Parts: sequence; C-alpha cells; structure tokens
Amino acid sequence: MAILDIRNLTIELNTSQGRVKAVERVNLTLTEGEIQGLVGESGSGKSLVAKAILGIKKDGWVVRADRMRLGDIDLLTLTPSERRRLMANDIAMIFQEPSSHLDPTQEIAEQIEEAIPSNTFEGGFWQRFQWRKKRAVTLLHKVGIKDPISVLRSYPHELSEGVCQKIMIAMAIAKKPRLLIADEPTTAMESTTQIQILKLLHKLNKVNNTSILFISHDIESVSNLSDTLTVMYCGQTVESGTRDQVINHPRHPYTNALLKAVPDFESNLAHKSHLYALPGSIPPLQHLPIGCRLGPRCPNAQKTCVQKPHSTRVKGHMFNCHFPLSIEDETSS
Amino acid sequence: MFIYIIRRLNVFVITLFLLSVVAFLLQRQVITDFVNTGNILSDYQRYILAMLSGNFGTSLASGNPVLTDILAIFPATLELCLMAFVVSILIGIPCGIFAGLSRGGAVDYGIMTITLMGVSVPAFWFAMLLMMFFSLHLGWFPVSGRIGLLYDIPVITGFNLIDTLLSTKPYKYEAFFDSLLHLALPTLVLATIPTTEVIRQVRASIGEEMDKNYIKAAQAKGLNTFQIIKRHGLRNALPPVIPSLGLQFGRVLTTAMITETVFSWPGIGPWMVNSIYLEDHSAIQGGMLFIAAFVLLANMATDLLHLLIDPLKRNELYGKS
Repeated sequence: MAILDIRNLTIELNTSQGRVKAVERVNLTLTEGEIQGLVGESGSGKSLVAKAILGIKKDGWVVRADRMRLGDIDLLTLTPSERRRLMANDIAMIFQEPSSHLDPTQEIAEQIEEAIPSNTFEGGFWQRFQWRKKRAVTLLHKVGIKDPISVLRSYPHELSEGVCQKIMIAMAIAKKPRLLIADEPTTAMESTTQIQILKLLHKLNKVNNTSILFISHDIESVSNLSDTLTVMYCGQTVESGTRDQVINHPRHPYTNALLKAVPDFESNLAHKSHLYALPGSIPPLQHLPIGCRLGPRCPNAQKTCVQKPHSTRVKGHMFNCHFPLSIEDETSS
Repeated sequence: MFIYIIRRLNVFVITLFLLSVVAFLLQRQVITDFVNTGNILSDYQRYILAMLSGNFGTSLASGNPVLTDILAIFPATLELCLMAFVVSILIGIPCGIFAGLSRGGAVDYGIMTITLMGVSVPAFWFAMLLMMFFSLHLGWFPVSGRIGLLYDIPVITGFNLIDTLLSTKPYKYEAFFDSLLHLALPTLVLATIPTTEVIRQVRASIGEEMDKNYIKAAQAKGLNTFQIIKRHGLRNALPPVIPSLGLQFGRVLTTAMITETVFSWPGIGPWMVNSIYLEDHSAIQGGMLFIAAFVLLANMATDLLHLLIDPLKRNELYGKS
C-alpha cells in the first residue's frame, strides 16, 4: 500500500520578479516499507517538496496538489492543527543545515527530550523520571556520538555541524515514525560515519518498517540504499522507477547525464581525460525555460521540447521526455 | 566572564570620573563648602576624597548633609520607576508578541498605532488629562501625593508598599491599598515610554525569531504554536531586549521628575527643581552625581543580567576575549 501518494504537486513562490513555479507537477509515490531516493542538483526543488509534505510553509508560498495522501489520510483537507498532530506521530524529518534547526539558547538534552513522545514509554511508573534522559543517551549512542553526556549538556553553537546533524537524526528517529524524510542527512559527516548513518537508516527501515524518502544530490550514494529512485530537474520530475530501471536503463537524457557524470575510477580512466557534464548550467528561477526545462541543455532536444512532455509509463518506470533514450542507445553509447 | 565584569566596571568608574570632573568644575565657579586654594589638582583631590567618603556637602536649604536628604527622598522615585517598569513589562511583552505574530495584520496595526501615540504624547499633558478625568471627574484615584494623610506609617525601607505591610498598625492593609491607589496614575504616565519601547523591541525580535529554521524544526516535531512560542520563541526573543530596558532607565528617571512635579510626588524630581530655584549648589551637584551613578549602575546590571540569561551572548564574549 502506498504510504505517500502525491499527484501534480505545484509550489509557487512569490518573488520580487513575480510568481515563480519552483516545483511543477511533481508526482511521488512511496509504498510502505520502501526507501525512495529523490535525486537532483541543488536548487531543483527537492527540499521544497519535503517541506510541502510536512506542511511547513513560509509566507509567499502557494502549494497546490491534485492529491496528497499519507496512508489513508488526505493531507489536503486537514486543518493545520490536525496536521501538526499527525506530524508529531507519523512523519519525521532530518533537515539540511542542522545547526540552524536547533534552538540556539536551549541545551541539547532538553531539545532531544522534547522530541521523545510520551507514548513510547515502557516500564514501571517509578522509571518515569529518568526514562527520557536514558532514552536521549541511547539515541545519541545509536547515531554514533561517543560522549553523549557532555553533548547533552552543550548548546548547539558549541558543537560541530556533523554532531548537530547526528542530533537531528536522533531526534527524527526518536518517535519511530512511519515516514522519515531525510534531507541530505550525511552531508556534513566524514565518510566512515556516513556509512554508519546509512546503515542505521537501513536498519530502521528493516526493523521498524519505516518508509524513508532519502533526498540527495549524489545519485551514487542514494542508489546503494534505495529501492526506488525519483530524479528531479529544476522542479520537474524527469524519471522515476526502481533502482534497476533508473540506474541500468535510464530513459531520460538528464538521468543519463547524471549517471555519466559519476567518474568511474575502476575502469581505466585516461589521464587528464574530460569528465562528462551537460553543457550550460541550471537556469535561475526567474528565467525558467518553457516546456521541458532541460530543453536548452539537452543533447537530444528538438522543436517539440518547448511543450511539456507527457509522462510515459512502462512497467512502473515513468519518464517525462519527448525523445526517450531507448535501451539500444544506452548500450551503444 | 570575570574579565568581562571587570571591563564593564572599568567603564563605570571612568564615566563616573568624568562626571565628577564636570561637577567639580561647575562647583569651582560658585565656591560653597570647599576653600578654593587656586591649585586645581589639590582641590580636585580634596573634592574627590570627600565624594568617595559620601560627603556631598551640606544642603543650604535644609541644613542636612545632601546625602541624607537624597537617601530619604530617592526611594519614593525608585518605587515609582520600578512600578513603571513592572507595568511596562507586563503590558509590553504580551502586546509585543501579539504584534510580532500578526505582522501586517489588524492587531499589529492597532498596537503599533497606540504605541506611536504613546511615544508622541508629552508626559505632563497626559498626566494632567488622567488627573482631570480619573481623579477630578470620576474620583477613582487621589489627585496627588504618596499616601493619604490619615495614615501614619513609620519609614523602614522608604518604599511605601513595603513599609505599610511591615508596619504593625491596625490599618496597614488599608494603608497599603491607599498607597497603591496613589501610585496608579503616576505609574501609568511613567510607564508609557518604557512600554512603547518594550513593545517595539519585542515585536521586532519575535518577528525575526519566528522566521528562523529551528522554529520550523519545532513545527516538524508537532508542537503547536503556543508551545513553540513558550518553549523556543520567547527564550530567544526576550534576552536581546533586556539591555535596551537598562538604557530606558535614564529616560524614565527624567520623565519621573516631570511626573513627580505634576503629581506632587515627594521624590527626587520636585526636590531637584526646588534646589535649582534656591540655588542650592551642593544639592544640585550631589543629586546630579547620584542620579548619574544610579543610571550607570542600572545599565551595568541589565548588561550583566543579559549575559547570565543568554548563552549566545556568552559565546560572543569568549570569541572576543
């Protein structure tokens, strides 16, 4: 069953240059107990999608969708307070820029204890006084913090970005959510702890059946962990499907370019050879191309690309392109 | 932390020194208690030693030492000022929060309009209006003074509200309420300026903090708006407001002098005005030094309080020293 089902999500931002469609008709489906990777360059609207799911809006954002469901709950019809209650129990998010998402004047201990819901309590009433503290310590242990006691007594500005990120993860997994949105959860960490955190997320997924929406700009690291992948470019979904479909048989030129951009150090890469990249750069939000937004940079673009492509679906593999790459193309190149 | 306190004290001492130089030079123009030997430095040395030992000279009007007069009178002013600050915090913080949360809304405009009016209205005129309406027309509050003439309360601390409760007289509660009634109007007048300041500062501060990322994170934890403001908003928005309260103290003391004169409040205001009329130079000079020292002290105290409350400020300190 789909735990998260989003159809045609559009997010418009009011800027000084007028209203801009930062995210245009994005579709996302997460089945229960699945890890889905959401891949795209920075500025492609991944974090906006995550915030729209949580219902955290800033002034001047207009969020519209044809359908937005969490399990059997329709998120669009909920009042803000009902939505908060839902978030308290079912959804957790690991934010980007972790240190700014921690209250600067509050000790870590209080902040973690605040994130531990009282319905997770187990044990006798005499343990009530201590259990939150103990739970906070175990949570910090879980995310790989070596001296939890001293970290608990610190303020966020006294800790490094990596430790703050681990604290955010600890707070997110504290309530054992049904859906975990991880927005670049391992960016500020050294690579050994990155693997540790990825393993932790994987374990969470297997043991608690937590569905995870894993947002990242790095298609390689995401593809190791996730069952399905969705690729975004400039606020549009370009391709989505199972890991095998997207990684091994990409149908969209952008996905193909992303995969080619990962340098393959195992094959003999010629000395000083060119690394592959698409020509041009991501257009700014004020000057988005019409139709398929990849158009001006796409190697296969033709006249029809000024119209938005319809999504094609083949065995659960969805792609939005007028001229999809065929598998023969992929093998010959 | 310790070094910061020392540094802050240093500023305090230097400012006091400069003030004493000004007061000394003023006094040299009109020789009163001190014999002018012609040598400025030795005169100043004698003068500053006398000041440090608490000898502000003798008042020409009362014949008492100036310090005794000030200490007898100042608690009345202090009581009024402190009450004004309490009122301004009680009114200012909630109003500031409401205005800050509904930025650009009707509540915000309403509160800010009233605030602007509060800043612009002259204190003496507002005092007279209140007096005419509430005291003369409606008769709810007494017109002037600190306490009814019927009550004889011995002075212990100099604060009427405390003295009435400490006294053993059978009518002490009546006396307490009577002094509260006497306090009401002057407090209201005096509170307008700090209240407007508190509202503006809190509004700006909370408006800024509520846009920060950790508020979003708190929303994602599932806290409701009230909990977010209580647990995260206020603790970040209020500490930066504290030092500006200390700065207001000087302004409040000057306004207090006007207010006291209008309400015949037996505080330092009418006393200073009277001394000026009588050309009582040692009293003027002593009063000036005393008030200046007190304002500086209040500033320093609020700065240190800010330091104790706000961990971010403490962090800044380590970064700099």
